[in-house]
Amino acid sequence: MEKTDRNIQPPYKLVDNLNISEPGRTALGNGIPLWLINSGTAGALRVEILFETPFRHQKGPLVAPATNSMITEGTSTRDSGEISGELEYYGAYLNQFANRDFAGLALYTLEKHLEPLLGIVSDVVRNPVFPGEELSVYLSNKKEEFAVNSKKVKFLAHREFVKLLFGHSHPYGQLPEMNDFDELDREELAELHKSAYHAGNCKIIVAGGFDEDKTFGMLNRFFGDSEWSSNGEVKEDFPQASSSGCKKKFVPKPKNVQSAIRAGRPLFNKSNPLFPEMMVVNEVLGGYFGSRLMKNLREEKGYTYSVGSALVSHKYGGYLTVATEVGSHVSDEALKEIHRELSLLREEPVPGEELQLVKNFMMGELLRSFDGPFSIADSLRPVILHGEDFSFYKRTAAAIRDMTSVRLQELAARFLKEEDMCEVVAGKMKNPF
Amino acid sequence: MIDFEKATLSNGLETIVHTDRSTPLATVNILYKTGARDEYPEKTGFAHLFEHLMFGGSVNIPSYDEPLQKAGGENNAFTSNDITNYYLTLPSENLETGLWLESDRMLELDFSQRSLDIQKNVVIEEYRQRYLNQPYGDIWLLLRPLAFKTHPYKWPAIGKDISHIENATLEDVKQFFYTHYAPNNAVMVIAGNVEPEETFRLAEKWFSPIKRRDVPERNLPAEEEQKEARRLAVERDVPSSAIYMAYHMCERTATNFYSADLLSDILANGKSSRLYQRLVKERKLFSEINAYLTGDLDPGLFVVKGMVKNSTGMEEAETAIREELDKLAASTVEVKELEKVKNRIESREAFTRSNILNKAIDLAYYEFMGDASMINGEIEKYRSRTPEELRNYAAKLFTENNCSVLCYLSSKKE
Repeated sequence: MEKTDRNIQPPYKLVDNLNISEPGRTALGNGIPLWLINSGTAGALRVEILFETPFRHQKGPLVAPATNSMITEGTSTRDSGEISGELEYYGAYLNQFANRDFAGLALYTLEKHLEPLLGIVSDVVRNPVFPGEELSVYLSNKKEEFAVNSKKVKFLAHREFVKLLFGHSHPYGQLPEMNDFDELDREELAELHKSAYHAGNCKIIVAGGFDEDKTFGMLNRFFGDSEWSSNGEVKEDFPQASSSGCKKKFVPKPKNVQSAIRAGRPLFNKSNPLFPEMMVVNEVLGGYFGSRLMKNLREEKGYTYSVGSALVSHKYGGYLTVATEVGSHVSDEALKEIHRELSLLREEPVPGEELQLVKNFMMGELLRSFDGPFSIADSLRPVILHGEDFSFYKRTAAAIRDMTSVRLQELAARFLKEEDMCEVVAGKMKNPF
Repeated sequence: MIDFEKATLSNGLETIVHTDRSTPLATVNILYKTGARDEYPEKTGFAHLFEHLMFGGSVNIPSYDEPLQKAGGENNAFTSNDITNYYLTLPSENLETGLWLESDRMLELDFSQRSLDIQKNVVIEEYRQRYLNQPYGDIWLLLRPLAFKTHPYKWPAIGKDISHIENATLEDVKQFFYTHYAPNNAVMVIAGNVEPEETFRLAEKWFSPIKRRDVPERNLPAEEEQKEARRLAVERDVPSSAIYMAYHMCERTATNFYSADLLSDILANGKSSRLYQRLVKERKLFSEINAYLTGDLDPGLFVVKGMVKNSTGMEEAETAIREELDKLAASTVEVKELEKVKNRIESREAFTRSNILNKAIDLAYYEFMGDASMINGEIEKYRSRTPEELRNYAAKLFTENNCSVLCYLSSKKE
């Protein structure tokens, strides 16, 4: 039997052969950009159809998600039941998603059923009629869902946090209220549809295993014709955040056994050259299981099941957020420890060994994010929606490799100042803000 | 088709290698054949608490996470009523780090009072976060003991009560390890960009020195047949009432399991499903409705769950669900409707098997159920079910005496 020394880690290699090759971009006949990410194996694929959703055509925060959900509830030739019946007969799953910036559909199907399914998807994207009766069912059910969410401290904390970051007049700071679900004019949905769901504002990503020529031909037939034309490019002014200056908010929930905490600050998005470097700062702070926040709040103090930090990237700007739910008897202590971790990053260089571990881990994460066609598509979507390309990941890999303890401390001192932090606690506090 | 090679090490560890050259990664998945059903009724939540302790360092390696992160890997685990499953993914050339870490914690944990105290707190916060601090969070704490009277499925994996976690001692924890954690009570799957011969050699190198342990034979009390309808009503501070109807069904490996899964899809998979079309869209009685199986190895539950609209009475809600279930028991489904749910299952399988981690977890689970090669026969088992089989099984399942109803009432509602 081979001898084993269990006290020493077996030799391992660092990830340095990262193969970040840009998926090939092509275009349909009417100019819609198309990415085909093909593993060449099993015949299952995902087709994502993506649109930008301009603010000026959204009178309220519900318009974009309602529009995107309602496109499958009736077209000029199919009613709601026919649409779901046909889609599901072919075994397909259709995922619909929308926020203030972007909306889209993801069709999951076996390749053998692709053609009839693209016909239906093309119909719902191009010819929805937004029936009033279907809209009222949607709103009434969403209202009940909203009421349930409003019982969750993390939902309440997140809402107040976003309001503090952006202010009420900014689209990102406008959130639905209960009475918004009572009435929504179907004309507003039709208007957003007209301005956003057209060929000049559309991008398509196909990932999986499929025959490229056949798939291209079908997409071109259902989406690439000149009859589906552009309605002009979506261009708008950068909306200004107008925070009221208030940075702390306590939402008392005396009956809850846990408090939700949010802390963070407005920040730039992926397009900013500093973003990749800030990803490393975020990783050390709260981006992985061994992060400073996890070690402190969970593994040393046992205050929480989980704590993490993230960089959120919107079309215009973004933010850094720390999020956790802690025992409500230790809310104050947990917040203090979050402050301590921010100040440690500002005031002391990260030890070389820890930084090296974070770099290795992040390179492993990058490797995982390009593992197979679906992961590649998941990595492609957020960058192309920001008008970027895969060079973003090359910059990220370089930022990880080149990061030093000195540079990390510089960034922390600049972007993790305590006076810039917005903070929300929903639950209990011994000493409320 | 998922190809694999299988061998049993001299200490009884079942080892499976699946090669997938399309990825630069490798996964190590270890399934321990122990879960919450193996706990003592007065010490529940142990399997899950133990899962947390498995990350607190092992006999020769003080930190589990750090060496893995250095090698570019990540990991996690989950505990169910039947199993405790650990997995890691890392660049395939660093596979040996994964085997080194997993074998050391199979060998022996570094049991410490401090680690236990911290993880008890963490698990208590998990309990609060998932079960006590969420609207509807305690439903399974109520429904399990209503539906099960003898079988240990009557408590959830998180535990029956927080006090069971609070009272856990180091001695309890050690005993749990030596009773259930053993090479001869586990399945290991290594999947990804790996060469089988070399992988088996590494598995042998790191795992075969671990001694076989005496694992007691499992002897669980079978759940007795339910003879009368059960009902529990509770009132909670939630905005809408919910109804749960749970029916006892067959074990995971029985043919009828596939009939039950198809029935649940006919009822509630997708917008074209019966419950959604009739009760959400047409009659507007529910804002949300679902039907699913708990999927346990031993006989589990077929569950129908509805979020009742504030304009709907609870009796009306329950009757409406029963009417739809009765239809399934009374007449056969249309061939096209059955074809639809079979097609959906075929797509679902194709997408869930699209990465090595899911393949590894599934291979381990099928091996645990009896034979990993069952993974390649699942679609056929669904495909060969007939409308008559579904109707017959529905007639057996959906009777009043086989049902536990939980009425979770909004305290706001009259």
